[in-house]
Amino acid sequence: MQRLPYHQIISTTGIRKLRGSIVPLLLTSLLTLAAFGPANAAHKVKLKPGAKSKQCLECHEDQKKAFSRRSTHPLKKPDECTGCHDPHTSNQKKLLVEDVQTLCNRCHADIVPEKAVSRHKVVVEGNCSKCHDAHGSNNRRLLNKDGNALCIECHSEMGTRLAKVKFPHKPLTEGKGCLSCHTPHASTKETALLKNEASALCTACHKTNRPIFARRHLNYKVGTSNCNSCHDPHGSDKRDILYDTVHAPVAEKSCQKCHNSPTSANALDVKQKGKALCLQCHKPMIDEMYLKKQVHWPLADETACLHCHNPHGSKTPKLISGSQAKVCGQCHADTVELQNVSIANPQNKHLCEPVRKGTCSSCHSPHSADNFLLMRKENISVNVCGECHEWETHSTHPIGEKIVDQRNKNLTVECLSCHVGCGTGNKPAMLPFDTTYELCIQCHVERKR
Amino acid sequence: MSNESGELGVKIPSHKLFILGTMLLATAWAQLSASAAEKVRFRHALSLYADDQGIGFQQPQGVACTQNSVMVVADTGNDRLLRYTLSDYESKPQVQVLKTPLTIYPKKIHVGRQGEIYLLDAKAGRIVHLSADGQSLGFIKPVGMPAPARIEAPSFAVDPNGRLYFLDVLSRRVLVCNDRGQYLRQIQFPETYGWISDIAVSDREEIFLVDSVNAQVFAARTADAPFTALSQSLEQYMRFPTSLAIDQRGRLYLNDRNGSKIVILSADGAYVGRLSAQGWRDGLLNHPSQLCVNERGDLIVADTSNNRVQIFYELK
Repeated sequence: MQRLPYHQIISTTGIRKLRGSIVPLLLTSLLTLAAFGPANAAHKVKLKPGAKSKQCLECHEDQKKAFSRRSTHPLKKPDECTGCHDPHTSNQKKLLVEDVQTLCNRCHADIVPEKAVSRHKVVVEGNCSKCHDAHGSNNRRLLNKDGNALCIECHSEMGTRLAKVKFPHKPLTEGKGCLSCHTPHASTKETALLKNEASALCTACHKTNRPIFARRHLNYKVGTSNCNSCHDPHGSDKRDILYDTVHAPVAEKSCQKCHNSPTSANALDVKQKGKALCLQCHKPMIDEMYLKKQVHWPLADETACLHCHNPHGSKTPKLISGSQAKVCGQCHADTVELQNVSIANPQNKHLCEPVRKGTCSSCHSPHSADNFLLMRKENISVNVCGECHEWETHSTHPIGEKIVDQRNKNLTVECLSCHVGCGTGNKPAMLPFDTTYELCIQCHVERKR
Repeated sequence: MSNESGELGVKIPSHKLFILGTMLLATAWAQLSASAAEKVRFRHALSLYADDQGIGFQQPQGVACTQNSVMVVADTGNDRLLRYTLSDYESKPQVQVLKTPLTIYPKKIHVGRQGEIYLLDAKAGRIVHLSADGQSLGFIKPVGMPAPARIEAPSFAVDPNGRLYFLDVLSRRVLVCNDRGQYLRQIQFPETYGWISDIAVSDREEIFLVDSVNAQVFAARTADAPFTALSQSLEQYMRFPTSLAIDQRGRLYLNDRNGSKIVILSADGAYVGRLSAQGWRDGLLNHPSQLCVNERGDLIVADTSNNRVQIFYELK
């Protein structure tokens, strides 16, 4: 570029002439300053040798052990504690430069794929340290514990079950354990963090072309069926890891009671649809249901019994396809949510047992009833609440047929005059009010302050 | 927005309205005007507790309104129907008790133009047809419809021409029949839904369905139209709707059985407001069931767990 004398640069005409060359020059200078200026300034701070790591370990001796473990976090290699921690101040715990999730995601952003079908709760919550030690571990992948022991820390019910079960599923107790079927962070293919759909996972080991497979399944072609419909994938007390509760035709290997013959074109189709199929064996029970005044309407549609029951087997009694909270919550999510909020409310130390345990059937009849809201019995206070709260027969606020509710002349005072049966969320003791005072002055108006 | 006296009002503060209006003027002025203009206020008028002999209601689940200030109550727990004539809410209403072997555990009811009563016998899949004074006019069962011949109907509706609409959950369809039950046409339920609990038909023969699980309303506006979503899920406003009523202006009223309130939607399915709350005093509700709106625009609610029927009038 041609070098110009100073006077030429400041003259108006000169600026016009130079516009094409000086503006890029200025911009380049500014950008250079922006990029290197502060960095240079930082580098000029005279840090003691090892200030970014070794010096830290002089005080944080406990971390020395972590760094001497079999596998260490790669960040440790260049001795850079300051990669994750701010040596001076931070708004985060442990002087981290960012919250754990953001910090880990700097390098591990692909842990949860964008199109994940299921995500591990701890990953979503950013609790990476629940499973990993960020500094070092004697286990692979910086895991806090090895194998199933790590999973069982949270999934303790599964751990207890596996310890007791007669026939554990081998992949769970050998080799990769839980990770034989589940992926630890997120799955793009299936729910429950499964690596693949159930049949694909199972048939990877249980070859469907082997004669024994066909024989055990009575020649039904179940290679693409949901194996979890009959088998408990973790293990059970029954041979062939069938569910602890199995439908009688499954136990008797009488699949043809419900399904077409294995040689027919649509062998796996059921012989009749909906309730008609169940009526073959359960007619007396279903007839009795229909004698009641109120029928639970899901019984009436094509899905009928299968709204709530698994036709093959289940972990829960009566072939219910899950816990009551889960099954009832399919439709009554509003009530189950209320129940969950009530459980979480620290004021509810003595929450009604069926609400705490989510056993809806303690009070409601799931099929039909002669009472509104499918209550199992008439006169709820005595016949339903009184089953557990027997003390109410001798020591309680006046209740019963003779005590008229001051707020409504058509009601008598009952348990449900003050409490709401399914829970009241953030309010205490299943009361519909925030305080006992608010409740009592409903009737005892003279006490109102 | 509701309060304990059962009064409801929806009002957008003027400064917010101004900001909103400025922002959306170019694109959605008409829509904003419509929602701002919709202002509804109801007040509790009357609670009915008993017949003229003082026999109290037992968990009434049904109410039906008709012209000439006539209202029929299904006093479910007492196995009877009560026909009320309410000229105004100041004077004592005339009551006629209708108790027959046909009125066992009555729940869903409707009243025709001539005052005749339709009572659903859900388990038998038929309607009990009664005259205005409770005499049996026979049963109406849907006939001539496509297979299956059996229906499972937890609810039904009657239009001003006497046509009957059966909510057949077994075959996931609405069966439209003439006043004798002869099949006319069917409309399949929407493709995805949680559980359809109730049906309502407007004077213009538009059909509405309520999905309890998703707290959503579907509509079939014309004879050939399929059901499409009229409203978004109303879960933020209510818990579990099981009954639907429509007034002469096309406004929709939904009971919130578990949340003990009433939700009102405009004719286009937009949320207008909520009425009442859970409680025992007059104006409050406890597990409301069937609703109806009479010719005066008054809202009548079977307040089931409070053993009464409540009437709310609109503040003009």
